[in-house]
Amino acid sequence: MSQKQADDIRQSVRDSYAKVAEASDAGECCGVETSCCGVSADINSVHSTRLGYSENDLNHIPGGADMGLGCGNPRAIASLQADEVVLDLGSGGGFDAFLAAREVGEHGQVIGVDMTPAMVSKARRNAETAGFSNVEFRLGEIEYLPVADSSVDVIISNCVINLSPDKARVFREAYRALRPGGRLAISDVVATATLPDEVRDDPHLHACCVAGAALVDELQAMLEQACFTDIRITPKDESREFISDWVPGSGVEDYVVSAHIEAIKPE
Amino acid sequence: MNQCDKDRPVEDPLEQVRLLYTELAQNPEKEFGWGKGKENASALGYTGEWLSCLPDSVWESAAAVGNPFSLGPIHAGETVIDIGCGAGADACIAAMLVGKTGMVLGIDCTPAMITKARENAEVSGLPQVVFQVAEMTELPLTDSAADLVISNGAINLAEDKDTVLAEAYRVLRPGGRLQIADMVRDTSTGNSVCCRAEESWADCVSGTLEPGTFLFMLTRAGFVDAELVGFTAYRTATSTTGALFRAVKPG
Repeated sequence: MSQKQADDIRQSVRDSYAKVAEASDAGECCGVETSCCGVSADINSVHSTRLGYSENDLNHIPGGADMGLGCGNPRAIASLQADEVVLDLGSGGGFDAFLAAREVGEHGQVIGVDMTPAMVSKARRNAETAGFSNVEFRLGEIEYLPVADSSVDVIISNCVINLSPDKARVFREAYRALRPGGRLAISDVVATATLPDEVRDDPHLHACCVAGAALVDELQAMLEQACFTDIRITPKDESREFISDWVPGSGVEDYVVSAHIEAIKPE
Repeated sequence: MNQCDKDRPVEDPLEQVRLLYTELAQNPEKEFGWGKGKENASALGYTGEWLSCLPDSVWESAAAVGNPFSLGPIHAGETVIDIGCGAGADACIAAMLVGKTGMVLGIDCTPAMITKARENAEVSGLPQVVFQVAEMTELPLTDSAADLVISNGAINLAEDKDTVLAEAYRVLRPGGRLQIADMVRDTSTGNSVCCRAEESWADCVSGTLEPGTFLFMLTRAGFVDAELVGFTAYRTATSTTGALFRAVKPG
């Protein structure tokens, strides 16, 4: 893929999520077409409960941070400890970052990275409103992480890496950013069968976290090439129900499934 | 006000900046009210070699306000960061100067400019330059990694200039240099206060400082030998002028 094609994909994704951020700011009034990306607070809470977040989780994050854009709960597999440094790839409105911030406590640190300026602004406003002092949001692309080498204990990410036009680079960057012994705890969609060309080439389905999904074997190979060990990719068959709601009637649930992706940077 | 109103005024300066420079990236033929392109760069002292070596798509979206390369040599093998690189003109020139053994990082908060800069570097065959979407208040570079910081008409656009200069200081190695062109208040015209309300932030007017204030901020950030080297002929308003600054991180 050329640089231009990769950047065109990034821009299409950015445009989609900027619309979600703006629609969410405006209380849904913009009538954005977001069949795959909820913007109603009620629907999002239901959605998030389905993904494995507790009521308690949902009650402890700033209003507006949960836009129902995830496909799992990376924290459930991250086993975050007090004082850890956490990096959230594609932090959006900050939902997972805020929950992680509560777990790592005031001496821990959470850095959210997102390439959509409107999302970074929104997350920063959310952090300020809620008074989080241990969370920061940085504008950047996940293929070029704006963090120092070996500075992070845990990388979390929720339904984002599938959007990247260069996933191998994302994993190489993740490896660079993690300290030796650091871990990946990612929730993302993976492809269970090769996607038909008309699905793979549809920018809307790409932004909806379908068309960009990689096959489990491809992800395994990319993680290995990035030198990760203890790689575990665990598809979640129960995700079929909510994925079928992303693009109703399209049958995408036959091709993609939500999965936990875990790996370790060796000591 | 209905927040969905697409014509609502954009109040956040950073958002204004991003909108204007997305326009400069995508519709460079438009009239912006200030100099840009090859002719502007040529008038500021960019050499014919640079102007002819780099593709026109670099120059059409380039709004240089001065020539940072006039402020000192750049050596082969050096690491350079360009703060607010736009479509990549200065970063590509720096890449030619540092050569294959050097490295240049260009950062810009406007994704459309980074897209364009990456294409330009690819067309120009300069693999030693990398472009990243980032804000100047959070430079994506390790401490003490750079030999040289350059910037051209960008730092005036930052609301928090102290943080930008602190970041520039952080990423420079001891002995590293800062060579920048930027817009400043032209105190000689005497109208630096009258029109503030009508002025635009994104057009490099209302975020400008007086040169002495900028020098003070450089010193406060830890730089030594901070120097206003001179003014350029570039203008964004009657009350502004391009200026050239140089400083060093103590070794």
